[in-house]
Amino acid sequence: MSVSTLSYVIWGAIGVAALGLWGLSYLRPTALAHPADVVEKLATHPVGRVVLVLGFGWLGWHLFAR
Amino acid sequence: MRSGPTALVVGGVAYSLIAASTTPFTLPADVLTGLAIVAMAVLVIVRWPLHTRSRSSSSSSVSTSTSSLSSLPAGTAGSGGRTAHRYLPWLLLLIVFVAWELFNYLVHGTRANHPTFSSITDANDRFYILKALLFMVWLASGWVIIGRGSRQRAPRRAESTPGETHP
Repeated sequence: MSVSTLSYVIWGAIGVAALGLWGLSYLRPTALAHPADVVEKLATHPVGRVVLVLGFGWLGWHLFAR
Repeated sequence: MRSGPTALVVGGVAYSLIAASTTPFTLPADVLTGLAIVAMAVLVIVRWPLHTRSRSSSSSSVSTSTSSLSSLPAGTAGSGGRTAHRYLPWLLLLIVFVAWELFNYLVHGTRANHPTFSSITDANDRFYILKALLFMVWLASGWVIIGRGSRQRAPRRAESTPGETHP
């Protein structure tokens, strides 16, 4: 397996893990927070809300403008 | 479907289709992306409370601006660390994501061998529809963020007022 392939496989595994956690959060909500709950926790935290908004702006600018 | 949310979705889709047609490092791309960021900032100022709200079950007089526990979502603050573990897998995933991104960014070698999240999305941007979808997801995530931090969210949810367009 080449380095490139391995890199993409790991990226894919991270993506699958995210989707898996997402699905699991609906099956076992008492054990795992929904993504929306995670966002809400950050959005209602004094520091987390700042990080969240700045992160949103940076991500958009980085992906679509620069 | 109510007219408010419908208009919002149609507007968001149209905006994404237009934004996806722009090229990075050009004025149109800067303007369309910047407008969305400015709109987000304005909505945050208008809709979010100045101080983080109290989410404790007793709604006591304890200040919410400095206490991280009191700003947890409903059902978590009162039970303290009992439900904190619900967030742990997401935190671990974020750590792995950031670590892998940094490794690929800093390691010696070509970008083809060590793709970053950005380089993967750059490849995605070669396809107009995929770029438009990515822009839509970005806009939608902003709307979710605004809704989740909104001071009016809890009362509105309880009242379920018809015609409301909040997320």
